[in-house]
Amino acid sequence: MARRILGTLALILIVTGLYWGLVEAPPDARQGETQRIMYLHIPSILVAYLSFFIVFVGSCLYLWKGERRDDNLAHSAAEIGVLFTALTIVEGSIWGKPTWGVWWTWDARLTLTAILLLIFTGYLLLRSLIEDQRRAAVSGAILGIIGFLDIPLIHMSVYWWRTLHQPPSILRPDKAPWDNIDPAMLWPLGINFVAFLLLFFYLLSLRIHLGEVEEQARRDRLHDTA
Amino acid sequence: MGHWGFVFLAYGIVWCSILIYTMLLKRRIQRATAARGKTHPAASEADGHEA
Repeated sequence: MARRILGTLALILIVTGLYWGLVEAPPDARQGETQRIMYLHIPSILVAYLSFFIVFVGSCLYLWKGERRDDNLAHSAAEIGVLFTALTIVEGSIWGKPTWGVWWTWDARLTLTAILLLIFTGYLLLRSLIEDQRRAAVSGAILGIIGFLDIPLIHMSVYWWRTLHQPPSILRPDKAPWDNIDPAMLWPLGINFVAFLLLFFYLLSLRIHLGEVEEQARRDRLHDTA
Repeated sequence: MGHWGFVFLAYGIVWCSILIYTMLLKRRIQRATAARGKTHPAASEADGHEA
């Protein structure tokens, strides 16, 4: 029931965000209409960061306590994080073509984000290749913790290297978002961010449920064969 | 492709991908529940109601 309410709320906010982002928000003075891709791009990467933070926390808890619940949380969040990271790269690429003139460039932030996607795609592959559940969970937890360390690098890359990618608009230490973005653009961004956040928790709850059903099925099989 | 073309391409890819992933996730839950139901019918019914 709670999941259904979450899904409905997410859907309402997604539709509101689409309307606000595509109709109500004004075009950017320099980028024109393509700036509207930012209403997807920024929420996508923030949700991806959140996913991998949950992988990090779940992995640490699993290595500490060894509970399957924490491993399921980390595994579920990793799958959703991979989806949102891939979408972030695709959105950025589509935005990059009319703005920078190229679909892709080996810029520090872009490259580190591609590495993040590779690490967590590897995480999912690793888990699917190891049959022993415990070994898969331990290997996954170690890779999940290491993989998360890429996120501070991605965030700081625009300060540490001379990059084509602009500095952050939201998560910056010197300015609050409302001092940096016009309210006409900040509102649709905020609505889309909340919509993505609700969508993320809806997908996460579904994926966790799948993990629980699969775990129960595995236990049933073990019980039946014993 | 005009600027709106890029915008619709991005929005189309994002929302289609999320829709497909959600549908696949629900199908995986249904399959796992059904597979469990073959051996434990009562438990599978409870799983199905939760999804």
